[in-house]
Amino acid sequence: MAQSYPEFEKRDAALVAISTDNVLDAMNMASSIGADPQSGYGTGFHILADDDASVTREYGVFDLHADGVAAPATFILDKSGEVVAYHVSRDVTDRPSTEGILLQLDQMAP
Amino acid sequence: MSAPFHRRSEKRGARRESAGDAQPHLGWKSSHSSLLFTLSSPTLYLVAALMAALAVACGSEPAPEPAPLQTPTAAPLVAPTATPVAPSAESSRERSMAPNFSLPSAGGNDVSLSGLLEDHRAVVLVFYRGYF
Repeated sequence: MAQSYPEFEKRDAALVAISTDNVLDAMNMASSIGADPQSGYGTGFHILADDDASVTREYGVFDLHADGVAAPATFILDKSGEVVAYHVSRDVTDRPSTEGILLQLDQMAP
Repeated sequence: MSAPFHRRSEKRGARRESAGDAQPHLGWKSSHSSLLFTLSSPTLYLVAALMAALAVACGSEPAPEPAPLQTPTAAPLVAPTATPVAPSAESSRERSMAPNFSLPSAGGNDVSLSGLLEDHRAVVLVFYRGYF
């Protein structure tokens, strides 16, 4: 999905990846997907470290698959911060498609 | 408003169903069991019956029902309903606001959701399992 960041940028959508990793592993993640840790792919792309899982818990997606980490989940927020669509994985391979997310962004009010 | 996600699940279910229909042993069974019956050996009857049972079992297996999108448990979020609701109706209940946060980024600075919302038309939050 990170590779499609230009498509998100085109739609003025920030793309934020969050895990319960520490910052070091977040940086490892950034370099593993070829993102410049300083700027990511662009100003709206961020890899965040929720080290103590507090945010992951707050969003209700911590440890859903009994693996002690965030369950793969996607939340699409409009400018007001409202959740207009979300997907929480049934298993660790269950992800929404990037196309589906972009479609949702296209359907949102400008 | 989460329709595209729902639609996607349905499509995925449908794909799985058609993949099931195309399972090679179904076609294999229909072409060979009739041949086996003409041979009229009890053992072959048994084999054919077993194969038929197997094929029926596989064929009648319902396509995996796309699980409803999970409502995050213990989340302060109210799940958005699949059916569109007039904005005026129970707007406080239907609107599920994403909790604000500020987290350190791989780039070394802290990033807050409120800041991102200020700078962008939309924000896509992707929780992932981590770097392995």
